Amino acid sequence: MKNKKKLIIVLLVFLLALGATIFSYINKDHRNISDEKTDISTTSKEFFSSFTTNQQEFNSLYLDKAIVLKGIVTSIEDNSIVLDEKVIVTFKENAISGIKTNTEITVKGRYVGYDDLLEQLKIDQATNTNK
Amino acid sequence: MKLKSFILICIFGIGISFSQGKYIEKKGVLVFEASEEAFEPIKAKNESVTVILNSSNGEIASLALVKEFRFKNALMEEHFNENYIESDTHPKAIFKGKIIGFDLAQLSEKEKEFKISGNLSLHGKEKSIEFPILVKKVDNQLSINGNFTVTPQDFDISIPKIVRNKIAKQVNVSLKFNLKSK
Repeated sequence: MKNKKKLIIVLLVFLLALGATIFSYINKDHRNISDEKTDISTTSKEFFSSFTTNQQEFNSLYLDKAIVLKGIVTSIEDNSIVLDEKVIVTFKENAISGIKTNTEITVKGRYVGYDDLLEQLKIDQATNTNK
Repeated sequence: MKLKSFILICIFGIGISFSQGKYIEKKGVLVFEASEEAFEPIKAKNESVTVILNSSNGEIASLALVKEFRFKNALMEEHFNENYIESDTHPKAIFKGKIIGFDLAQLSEKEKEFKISGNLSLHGKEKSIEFPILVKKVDNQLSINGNFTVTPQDFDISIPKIVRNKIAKQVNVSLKFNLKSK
């Protein structure tokens, strides 16, 4: 009798733990790029020129990875900036404040691909690492 | 001599009118939804879609980077990228087409319906699509709204049996573009 009770309790705890694990797996948080290990740290000019050298290899190396880029801000629009006219960097909400054109900046974000129409590389979920 | 200069002026004139005929959007919004009732909504939004319109002939091109589609659920976003759309090998979705009967001079602040027709390519496959859009012009901006449906099979995206009844057969895509004259 006692053993049966124990077994039920153990089983219940096990099921609860399993449920909690599944729940947290299904509802896991989005990536936080700013906290991730940086895969490459370079200048925006160099980043773009290594893209033009070998697009395929470049994409297989850096697509979806956390990138740190240094460059001159050539334009600002909404929540995006352009570095050296070659890389569009879109910031996380409210992270763009205080950035001025023609100044040097270092940002960290995720490389998402090349935009053929604008002929620019794109970085999203960026944060300003100058601060 | 006079004729020559006339032709030259004409050529210059055409050149100028062409260079003025470009409208660009860099922050277009695309939303797709494939939700089934009673199951968790399957919906993603891309707010960095590029669109270029040639207003002299209505030719339009649009590009969305697949990884910029954001889901509310992180796991769903991961599965979408890794198992379904395979964004590492197919990072972009491109539409190239034409707004039929497009005439900039006819546009006003009142919405006007046009038909848009062209090819959508993603996941390494191309499909021709045609759907109605609403266009209006306010100051120097063109706003384009519309929606269309596609199916995963159109682009060779296979849905595993286990989740088949949780994902709608038809994927509804809506677009909202605001193009500025360049």
